[in-house]
Amino acid sequence: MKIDVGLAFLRRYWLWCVVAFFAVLHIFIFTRVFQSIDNADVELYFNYASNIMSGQIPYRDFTMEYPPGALLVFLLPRLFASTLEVYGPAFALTMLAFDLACLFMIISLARRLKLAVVPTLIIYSLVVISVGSIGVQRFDFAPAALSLAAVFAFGRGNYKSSWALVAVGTLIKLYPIALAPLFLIYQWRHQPWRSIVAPVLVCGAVLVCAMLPFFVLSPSGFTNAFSLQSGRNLQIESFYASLLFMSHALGGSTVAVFFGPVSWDMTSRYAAGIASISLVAMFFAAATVYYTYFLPYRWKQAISVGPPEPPALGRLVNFSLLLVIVLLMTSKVVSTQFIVWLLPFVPLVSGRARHAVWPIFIVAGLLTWYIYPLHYGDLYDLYVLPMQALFLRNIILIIIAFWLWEAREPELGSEEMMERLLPNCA
Amino acid sequence: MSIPIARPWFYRTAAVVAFIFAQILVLAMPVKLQEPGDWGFQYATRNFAEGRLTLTHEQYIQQSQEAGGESRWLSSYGLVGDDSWAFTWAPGYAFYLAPFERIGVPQLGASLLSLGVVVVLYLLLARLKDEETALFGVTLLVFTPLYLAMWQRVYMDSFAALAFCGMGGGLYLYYWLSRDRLGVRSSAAVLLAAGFLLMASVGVRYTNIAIFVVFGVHFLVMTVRLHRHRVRFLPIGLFFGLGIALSGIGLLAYQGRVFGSFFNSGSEFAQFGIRFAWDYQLGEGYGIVRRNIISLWVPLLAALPIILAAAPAFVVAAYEKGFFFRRTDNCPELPVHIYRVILGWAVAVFGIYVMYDWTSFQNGARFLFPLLTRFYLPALLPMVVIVALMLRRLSAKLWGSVLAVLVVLGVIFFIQVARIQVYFADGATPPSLSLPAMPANISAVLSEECGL
Repeated sequence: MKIDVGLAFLRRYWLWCVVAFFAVLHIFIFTRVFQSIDNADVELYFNYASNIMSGQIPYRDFTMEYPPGALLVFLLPRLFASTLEVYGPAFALTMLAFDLACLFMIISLARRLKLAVVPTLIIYSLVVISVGSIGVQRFDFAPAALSLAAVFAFGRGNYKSSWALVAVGTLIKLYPIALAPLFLIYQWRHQPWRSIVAPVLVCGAVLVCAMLPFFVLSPSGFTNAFSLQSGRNLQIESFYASLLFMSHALGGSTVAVFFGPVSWDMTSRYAAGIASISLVAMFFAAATVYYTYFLPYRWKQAISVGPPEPPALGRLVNFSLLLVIVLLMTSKVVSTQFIVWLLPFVPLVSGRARHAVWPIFIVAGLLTWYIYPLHYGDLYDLYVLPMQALFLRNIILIIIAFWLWEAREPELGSEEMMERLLPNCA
Repeated sequence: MSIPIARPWFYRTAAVVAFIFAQILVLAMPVKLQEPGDWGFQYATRNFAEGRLTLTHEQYIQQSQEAGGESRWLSSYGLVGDDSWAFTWAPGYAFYLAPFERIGVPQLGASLLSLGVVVVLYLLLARLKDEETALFGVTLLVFTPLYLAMWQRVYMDSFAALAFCGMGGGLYLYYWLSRDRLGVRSSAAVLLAAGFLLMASVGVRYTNIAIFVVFGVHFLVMTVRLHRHRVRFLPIGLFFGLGIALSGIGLLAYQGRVFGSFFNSGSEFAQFGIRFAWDYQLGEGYGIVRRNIISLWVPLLAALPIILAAAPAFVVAAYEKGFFFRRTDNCPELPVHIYRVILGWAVAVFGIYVMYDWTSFQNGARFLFPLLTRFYLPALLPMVVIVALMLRRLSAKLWGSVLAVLVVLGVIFFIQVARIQVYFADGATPPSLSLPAMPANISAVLSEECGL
């Protein structure tokens, strides 16, 4: 009798049971498995937050290399922790909050995309574990969660919220703004143009309102934060650097590694040239992704102000992941923590590439963890195996991008498109 | 999904081109003696070629000094008698290589082995599925970084350990897939060759006994099964046993002659003890396995990138064969009993060497991958078979992309490890590899330590 009652309870509340299990699992991972103490970056965040608490103005009274939204992420744990020893765990809890937000959004999106929830959550947990403690030593879970939140809101038809979340994410790390053209293309081809104006204005307003005060208070300090990033050298984990490492190990062009303004960078005969054109490469690569996303929509779709249908949403998720990978692989800087940006999207990949992407992304995550923190010293000491591991990691990410691109499908939910295609097929 | 060209000659020609390209690549890199083992092996081959199975103390010292330098004495020789030094590694490959060494082209020996594996793999995959799959598998095989690296290192037995068990195992599986089509004579010949080569692989590397056991168990199970179905198999099956006996007798005769007993292997006389986790207390043994897993997974990925596809492929195949839950079998071309053998083959190799103590004490990140991963090479063939079968189900673009990436990785990683003389980027020998250097006055030291 008791067993029957228990089974009935499980049947009725199975989803909540699953949510509770994975939430507890992630709490355990973030608080017991991952290590956030004794980390130079966490200390840096603590110092930034302490400066603000003591009344200093960022960019004017102290230099900072991040956009202003990142300050909120640094400040939140500082409100509860006055010493570095306490700040580390508090920062980890903040990242845990973003991770749990991802978990809930993944459940909702998986159900909406008609994907099996439990395998999706298992994969999410595995990809989070695979990259190691970097998840609680950097604040990249925040923009990753906000990017997913933007897609999540978009999928529910909350377009203004979606664009606002893109703006908030951009204020923390710049990359979420790259998702905006995907949203724009979808809305442009599915909705009356007037309905696009308001969300775009919301996005612009959030960005301007958050940045303007800092710019007014210290124009040079504020612009320095961005020029510092754009002026960086070729960072050693970038795809270009891994190619140069391979060339070095093959006896080709010699490379050397040095500590640049903010990271371990590479110098070689080609490094500076590659670094200078990487922005152009990023632009063209992103433009290619946008164009590919646009192609099935080149005929105007049925006007609908409702949320995207599951195939369209799945396509948006796949292209969001593809876009971020493409940006990473064409960027001159691919710090270890940038891999966190991909984590929320990987379990939600749908279509033919879904099962192929999962295992090899986990290997890419493990290789990332192997390179940093385990063998970073061996990498800049130019040992061959870490160079090969880095190359392998980057090649895996490129394979994933290729598979996502190759497995792209036209939006099957659109009856009009089928009508247009069928006469051609006949 | 198939590529449009479906002519057998196209696939065969393409497989030959792949083999020739790999061969050119291997020959383009000069042979380097990278480890003490290479030196020992080279001298053992020469000694065998000149009919010397054992060395006197004087000959041993002379050859050690000839090899010269740190870490280059004949460490693979051990003292087996009062005035007798013998090669302590499994002797099969040295015997095989001796004639090629005598005519001055040892590379030819390795190339013939490679050709043999390629032919057998092609036949096996063509029988399992089709010639396109066979071409896919052969390309995967010959462009695996570790395969190229060890093919090029002529004076090391790892490649032969793969080749002999690959040919023997491949022929054995081919027999079971083609039993109904082969005549009596062909069946007998294939089984004889399979048995001979499988046992010879144990004579090349003693630990291949684990692979041999997998095939032996399969043979017994199939014999019993056929007997129950009243199928007359024993007369043909005896040829498998005959093949085993032929090469087994050779190995036992060598052991009896050199080590004093048929059942004394060279390992018992080795200068450095070869030990596995089971030789230790439980806790220490567990530590060896843990350290091997942690330190070797990346070198293994670099050495055998095919693992990336093989691990999921084995799992998917197991799932489809109903190992976890019963479901529709999308891979009917791979019979369950054949799947069990190739899985057992791979598990036997990984299972043994994940317990090897020497590799667990090295800093994997500072070595080039062949040094620590070469022991796993015999597991390559089953991985190629499963990957070729499973990936061919994907679209041509997907499997084509995997193949292209693996070929590029294979070429790049091979050249990187083959062009470097020492195993360390900065030219230094890390403490973990610092084998005791051979003293200049080796004669006096040996006299003192060994009482000679």
